[in-house]
Amino acid sequence: MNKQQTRTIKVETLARVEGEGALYVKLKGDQVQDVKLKIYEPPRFFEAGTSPNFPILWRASAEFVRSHIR
Amino acid sequence: MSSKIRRKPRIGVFKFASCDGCQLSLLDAEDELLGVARAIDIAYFPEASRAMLKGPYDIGLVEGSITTYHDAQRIQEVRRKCKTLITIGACATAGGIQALRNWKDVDEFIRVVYATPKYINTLKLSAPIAEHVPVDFELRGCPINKYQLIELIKATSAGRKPNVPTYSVCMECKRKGNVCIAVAQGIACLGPVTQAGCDALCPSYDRGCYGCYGPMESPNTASLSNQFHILGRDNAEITRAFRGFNAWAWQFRKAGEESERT
Repeated sequence: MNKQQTRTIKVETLARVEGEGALYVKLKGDQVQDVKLKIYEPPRFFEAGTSPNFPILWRASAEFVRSHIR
Repeated sequence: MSSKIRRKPRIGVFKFASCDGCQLSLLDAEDELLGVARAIDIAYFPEASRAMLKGPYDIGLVEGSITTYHDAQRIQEVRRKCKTLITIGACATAGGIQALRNWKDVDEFIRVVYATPKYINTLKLSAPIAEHVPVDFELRGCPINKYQLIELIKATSAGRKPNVPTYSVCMECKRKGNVCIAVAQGIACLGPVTQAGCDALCPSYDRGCYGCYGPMESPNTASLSNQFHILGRDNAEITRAFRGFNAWAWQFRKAGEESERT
């Protein structure tokens, strides 16, 4: 392969990168020039569930599990 | 018999805000997978194949809820391309577990979760598909039952009504010969108001039903809330019980909000 040859790799759909995403890689020879990763999965805010700021409803699942175990 | 060879239905599988679990049920069909692949033509299924064929599609399977402006536009386009539109799973049918944020301020969530909130584009609500476009059939469950999915695809291809029961989980317990855990052990169980489909998975292991399949055809949530009170549960616990994967389904929403008010 030509050392100065430029190649770009575009992956429009990555099925499993914390949801769906896309990848763009630009190479010159064997050197990576540019990498872009885009996660376009809609946010679902599970992280907020672990926050003590939202103690009641948002932790519904975990607490319901507890209330289920006698 | 007609000499015309019946064309295989072209299927598209589309993902919105979801965990991918329901669409993977199709690949999880294992023993039935080859039969399914013979009977249908998978035209668009990014999770399974890089070959993405253009519409129109005979059957569109839609997973996930609508939570962004972009997705609200995309579902309109998907609806236009699909002759029959079927939602699969609790997210697409009821808004999913992410609909819990519908009772909270989403802007506050964005600030809590993301370092650069301006990158995040989201709507105030996580809404089921049917709130945006007409839906032909809603398959319940978190996740869906793969046998129900296969039945649904077979029925839709043949133009008949799918055999998906709408009675409660209690029927499945009775059929399995389970002793009722709510009656015998006093466990809070959503089985009486929840649609069947899981083969009473949790009650079979002495756990109360979590309501993964959403409200059954005529759920008496008021009576069940009252029963939970008798079992010693307080209003906050009852509200939480109804706020699971199908929290935004109107029957569960109403039941949860009623307990919250009192």
